[in-house]
Amino acid sequence: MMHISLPHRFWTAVIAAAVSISAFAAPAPQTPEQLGFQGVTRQDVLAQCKRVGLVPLPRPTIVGANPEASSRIEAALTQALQQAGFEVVTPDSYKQAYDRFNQAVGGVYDPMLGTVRKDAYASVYQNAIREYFTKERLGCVATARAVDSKAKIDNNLAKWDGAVEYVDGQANSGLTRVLSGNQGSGFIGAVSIGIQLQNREGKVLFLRYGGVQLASYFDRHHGSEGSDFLVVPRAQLLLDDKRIERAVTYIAVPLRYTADEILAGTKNPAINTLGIPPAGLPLPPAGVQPEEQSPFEVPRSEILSKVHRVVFGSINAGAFNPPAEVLVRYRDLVHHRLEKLGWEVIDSSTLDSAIGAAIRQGGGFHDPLTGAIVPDRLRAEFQSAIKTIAVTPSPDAVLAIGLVKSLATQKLGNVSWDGTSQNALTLRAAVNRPVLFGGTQDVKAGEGTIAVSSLHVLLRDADGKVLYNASGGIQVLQQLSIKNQFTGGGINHVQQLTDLAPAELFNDSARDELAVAVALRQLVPSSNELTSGESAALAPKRQ
Amino acid sequence: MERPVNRALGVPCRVIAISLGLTLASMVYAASTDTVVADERLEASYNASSDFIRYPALDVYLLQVVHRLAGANPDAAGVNVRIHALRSALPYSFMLDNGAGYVSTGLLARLEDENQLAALIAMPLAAVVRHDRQNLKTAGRQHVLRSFLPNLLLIAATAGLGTPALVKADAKAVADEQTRVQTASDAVALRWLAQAGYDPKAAPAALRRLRDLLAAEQRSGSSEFSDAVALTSRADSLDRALADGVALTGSASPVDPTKNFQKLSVYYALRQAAQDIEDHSASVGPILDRIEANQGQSGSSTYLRAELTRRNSTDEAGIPVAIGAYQRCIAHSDAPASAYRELAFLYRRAGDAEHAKQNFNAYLAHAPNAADAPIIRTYLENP
Repeated sequence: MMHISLPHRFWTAVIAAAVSISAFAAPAPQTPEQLGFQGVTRQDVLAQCKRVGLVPLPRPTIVGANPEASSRIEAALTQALQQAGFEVVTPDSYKQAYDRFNQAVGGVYDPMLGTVRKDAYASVYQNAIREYFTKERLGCVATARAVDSKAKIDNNLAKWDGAVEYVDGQANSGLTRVLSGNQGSGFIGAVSIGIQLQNREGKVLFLRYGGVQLASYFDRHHGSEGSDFLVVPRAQLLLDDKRIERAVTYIAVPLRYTADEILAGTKNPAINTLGIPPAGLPLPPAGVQPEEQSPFEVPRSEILSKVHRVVFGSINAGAFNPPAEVLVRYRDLVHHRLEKLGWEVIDSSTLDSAIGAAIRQGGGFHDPLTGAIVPDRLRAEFQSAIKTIAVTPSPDAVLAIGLVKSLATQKLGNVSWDGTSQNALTLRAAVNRPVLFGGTQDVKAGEGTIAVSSLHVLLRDADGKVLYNASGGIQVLQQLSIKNQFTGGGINHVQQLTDLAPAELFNDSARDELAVAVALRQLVPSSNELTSGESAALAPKRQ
Repeated sequence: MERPVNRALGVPCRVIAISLGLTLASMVYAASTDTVVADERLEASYNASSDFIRYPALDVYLLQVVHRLAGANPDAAGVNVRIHALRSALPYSFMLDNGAGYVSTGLLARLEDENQLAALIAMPLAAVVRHDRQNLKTAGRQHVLRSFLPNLLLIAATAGLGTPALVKADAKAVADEQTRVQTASDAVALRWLAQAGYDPKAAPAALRRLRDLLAAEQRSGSSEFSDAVALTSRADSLDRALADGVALTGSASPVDPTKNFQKLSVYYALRQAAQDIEDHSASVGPILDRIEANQGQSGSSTYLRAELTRRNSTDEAGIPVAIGAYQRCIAHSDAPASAYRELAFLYRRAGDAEHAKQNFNAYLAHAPNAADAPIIRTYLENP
């Protein structure tokens, strides 16, 4: 007869109890908050929002998207809201009110900078919404936006906001995916649609996001040495009606069904959109390796034939506060590089203030109603500024240098951006080999984004037209460290980023030299580069 | 007489000992250097964050409090303190080992007076002066080294079953040590407060006030100044330290004679209430009740009440109630201009064109250059 000791009895009982609890515990319906209701119930929303006004989406709805995407989302959203029992009003009266108020405030764009004047925009928008409510006797307005989002990778699948997709964008067969093994965990770029229902008093009653598609893919078979991520061209996002429909269905489910009905419909893809298999949807757009954009806005030969005298203003340090000697060093390095072209580079301490004054006097060169550049005004203001600085003979071009902060991808601890690279774990030079083989790649670092600095070069002609626009990477602005988290199933390597202190920045003259060289590389190539296929390397963007 | 074997082993032993010593020294140096670099990075990161408040007058005021503490206590003066405020709904006050200190607007908004503020600055400052963080790290390392072998034996002897108990015991030992170190530093802070002419009794009172106000606002946090249990326990500990006796022999100069703290506190409390109308409306009433209990009603406080009333009204029946709330607001001379505008829109909705026009005009008179003034003029032209 088997004897069970007292401790064993205790643990057996605990395990048995746990098993029986898990077997009999029924999943609970989601709470109103989990379903997107903002401190109100579904009944409150249905009662308040019988007649819903649709606010038009911006065109484009996200940077780089096809403007047509906005119309597709509006159509899908209208249908989904109607299916949920709402009367949906078209945005004609909103548009009229918006245009009228936009005119009244003289446009919401700053004519000097081309940026939106926040106060003016808020006034125009709020009053247009107010008029929309009054004219159409609305209960609520629906505001939708496409947003950049993050999908959680789980092996070969990415899941987010009610959507599931293959992480490789279906570029590989199912068999290849199986043979490739587990793709691990992490996050990948995606695009979602967010919708909010708001009452007349501006109170948000409902807010929910629905996943549309992945914005990048993780594909070891088609990736590059620098990254296994491929990006979906922005212009090809949000043009898939089936995926848009999945997103708005997911969003509208809590408006259409009760929490209990949603729970009961777990296996119904019309209610639980995670049940829609990605293979049943149209093939998503193919991912591409991110291409380095040509810095030339006009052919290099044209720049070299037209430009001989360049006026060089102050270096814009932006958010940084580098020591004065660093700015002097950049200036000297730029002079040194441009001398190779035989250009006369004239420093001007008055250029920036002259341009500023000319823009102010000319009233700016952006259309305040649309934010677009007005070329005639830009030319007039630029020419006026150049006359003011009294450089004789008149310069052919204006050179602006700035220090900028941006985000770059780190892979296995190595970061490559704007023609340079650095290891984010050690802050030393990056070597694309595993540590065991003398390199700096550390598998624990995975892949992610990290803040970096670059030197930005902008060359304009005397009419203000951009000729050359390039950047050279200076250094990473954050240090990566890996924290090991012990879990029941193994070890999680958690990536942590720490901002570098100001004293740790701009103290490596070799990096400064490289940044200037890279930023001007295509304009002033080294003799080796000139002989090894200049035409291919220096191909202009528009010919 | 030395034994040959000892002499033979002596040289390698010394080499090993020296190497170990050098390694340990370099580890200690590296650890301290890392801490310095980490603090510099953290300070830069806080100072660059969007929550950092760029308000020189506030920095000057906070530094005055630190200087008063340091002026009366030479050991406190040994740290080069920089102190700033960060925007946060929850209260906190902390200091990095390099002397960079931060208080949150949530703290300023809830404390009663400068005595309480000084107390919650003195406590983290005392911890920095007494090197609590480094001491706790060192003690933690020593504890791990001391308990490593016994723990290993115990785990092996119990076939791993003893692990949870050991982990729990270790966690308790760490927590006990933290409490012991904190209590000792808090006692130092109380003495500093007394010597600087601040009321040390303000320290436990501040913690209990934070606890009670957070509960009334339906807010909670997990940090030392926002967790109800931690606040109670530390306040009790401070009471015991006070009962043990703190010499009240400090400066007799008055604390905050110009009531600067009250102005700051009310300002940040109103800002918090305005923010909470959007995302935490449960706290708006308690915050405004507190302000009005101390300062009486003002244009600002009644405006926020009117805003809350308007936003909570879901149908036309709420219009007269909201109109009443804005009417009470404009009765105050410091009512914001936007109160007239909102009132005008409410009258317009109610079909009262005459009162709408009157209040639109009042808005334009108070804010002729507002961004929406051109739009409001169109309402007057086409009512």
